[in-house]
Amino acid sequence: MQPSTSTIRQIDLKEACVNFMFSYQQKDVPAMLSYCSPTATVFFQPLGENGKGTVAELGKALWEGLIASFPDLDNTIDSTIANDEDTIRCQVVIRGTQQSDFADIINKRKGFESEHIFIFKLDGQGKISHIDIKWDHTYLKKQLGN
Amino acid sequence: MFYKRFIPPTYLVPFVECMYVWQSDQDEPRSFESPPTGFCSIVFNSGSKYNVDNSKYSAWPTPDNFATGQAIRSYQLNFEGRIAQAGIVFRPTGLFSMFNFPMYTMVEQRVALENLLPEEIVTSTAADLKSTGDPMLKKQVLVNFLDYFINQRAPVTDFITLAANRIVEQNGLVQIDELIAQSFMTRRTFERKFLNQVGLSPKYYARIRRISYLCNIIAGKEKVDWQHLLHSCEYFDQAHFIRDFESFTGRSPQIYLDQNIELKKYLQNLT
Repeated sequence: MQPSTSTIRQIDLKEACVNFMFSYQQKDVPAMLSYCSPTATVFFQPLGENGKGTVAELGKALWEGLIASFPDLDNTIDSTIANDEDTIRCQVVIRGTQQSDFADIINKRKGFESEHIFIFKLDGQGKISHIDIKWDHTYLKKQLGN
Repeated sequence: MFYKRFIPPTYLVPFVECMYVWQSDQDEPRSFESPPTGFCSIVFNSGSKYNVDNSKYSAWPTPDNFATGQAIRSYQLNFEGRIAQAGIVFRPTGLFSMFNFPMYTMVEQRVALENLLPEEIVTSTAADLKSTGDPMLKKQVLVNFLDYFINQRAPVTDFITLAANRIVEQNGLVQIDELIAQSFMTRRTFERKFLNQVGLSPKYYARIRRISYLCNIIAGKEKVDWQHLLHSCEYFDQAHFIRDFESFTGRSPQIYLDQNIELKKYLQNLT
């Protein structure tokens, strides 16, 4: 595959994705959503069909739930690369300590540290239009004692 | 084939690893492979066009004059013909410190210098480099280029520069928590500044430097004591070592050893 001449656009798009992750780090869900288009979709891949929805509904609910269950939730961006003209791949380490049940994960007051891959698709206005998120869910649950 | 590496003047040492001039008279296609090194660069190319194969692209054409951020995968340079380039290899925070580029935007990118720096400076530097065949004069042109920006920005050797340079010097074998403690910053602040100035997280960068060091050790060797190597590079176990190696080079350690035609070793043999 050949990249287009839009390297500068890729640089701008990376900034949007990094700012999204920084907002996540600040546990500021409205700020995270502000980097997404109103119709943006999300796919939390390990959750299968239940992990598909809109950022405004499913994304917001899951991120707010995670932040409530893991009050010290934090992330570290390992790298941010442009997969193609409109797609940015962020490799991120997410960590936190569980304080309440989250979905099917029973609270055993344990912590997790898990590598996540966020693949952001961006539209012509530089807004996030879709996010694919991947992680090793089995390992994450194991760390949390489930 | 001619390759000459120049040590930078003392005041540039925190930011610049070296400058180089690389030339060949033969007009024939050649390819060179490199693992990620942990360094960034600015390249002025006046020879034949060349392209890059990496994990994302095949035959990705490079601009004539460009800056590169951190590579996180092995890559191959494919020259169509005569090689004629001069360049600056930057220490991890060098491009940020001297040019104020947010480095996370530059990872795995080769960006035309004209898009990043004043066009007249880029054009005149490229012309000056092209006008002389003398490597020493070329080196001076590169120093003049850097001096222009040193005078504009007066870069400082801050805690992030010191920490990143320590990761380089210790080949990635360093406790990141210790570096953070010595910086008097919170982990979050340290990591954000590191991301902005280097392009990667500190831990990830240390992993790259360790792989770079390891590749340097095995380059050119026919046989390697893997157990000794993974122990001396402080890998937790063999599986961890192989996973890390494959993720950065795209191959198992043994296949890499069998196939490697690594650029750095090749160039070292020329000097």
